Amino acid sequence: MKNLTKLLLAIIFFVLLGAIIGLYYRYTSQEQQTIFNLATLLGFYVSIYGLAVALWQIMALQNITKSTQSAVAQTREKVEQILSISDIAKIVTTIRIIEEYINSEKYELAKLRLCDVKDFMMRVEFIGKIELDIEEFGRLKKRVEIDLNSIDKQMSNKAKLDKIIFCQDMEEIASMLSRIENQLKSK
Amino acid sequence: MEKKYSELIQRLYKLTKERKLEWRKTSSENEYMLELNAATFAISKGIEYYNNSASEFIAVSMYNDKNMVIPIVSVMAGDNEYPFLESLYNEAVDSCTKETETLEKVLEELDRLDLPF
Repeated sequence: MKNLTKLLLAIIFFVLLGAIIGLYYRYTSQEQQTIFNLATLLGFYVSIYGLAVALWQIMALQNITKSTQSAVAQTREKVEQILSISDIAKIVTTIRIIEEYINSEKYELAKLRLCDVKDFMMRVEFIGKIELDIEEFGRLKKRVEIDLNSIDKQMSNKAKLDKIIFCQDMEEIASMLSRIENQLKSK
Repeated sequence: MEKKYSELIQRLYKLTKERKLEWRKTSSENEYMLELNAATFAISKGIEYYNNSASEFIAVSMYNDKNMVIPIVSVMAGDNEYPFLESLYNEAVDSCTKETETLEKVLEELDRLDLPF
């Protein structure tokens, strides 16, 4: 509680105390002006005043708690946003690395990294406050699955991998993720 | 082939032939995919080696929203359903390459150029 508030409360206390004592002596008959009646009245006044101040303090504390909680939530959101931007940037780099692996025919490594991309795409939908074209994103997720199968077929010599189409798919995914990254950065 | 899949394949064939569906090439050899909002279909043609003999096969699979692959049908050359699935495969290829459409347009253009006036 600020010093000014304390001073104000003290002033109000004594002013009201003075007023009550004044009214007591003015409107109470001589016979009833006993020390016990005055003590009872003053005791009652102090209790009510104390209760009022306590209630006011509790309400003030609740407001502080709400503000603090709101500030904590905002900070947490900001931190999550920064982490998401960092994660997306890493995955876009991973995608470019995958394209390099495919062009150098390092299919096992490409597959490993593509699994990371797949896992990340599963999590992207849960990043808050992004405008995502759900259908387009769903299509790209399935494309990743198909490309993983294509790598498997290449590795087991069942069917050749079309590197150009594979890299085109990767670029589409990288573009979408970059758009999401820019969205988050602009918030 | 299960009845529910048979109807699905029939409809895919009909709509592909009518050019209402457009297939595209996947990153795998001899495989084409159809991307719909609800699912993605892939049709592939290959050769299966079994007991020192090679046989052609055509397989259709579906990728659902959870990215799970659901095998729809896989037929070997010689099976009853093979010719029909081969037709679907060929229509998918044509839909992707637009070979028929392009040839028609070329012929129309040549006809126009060949007019005496």
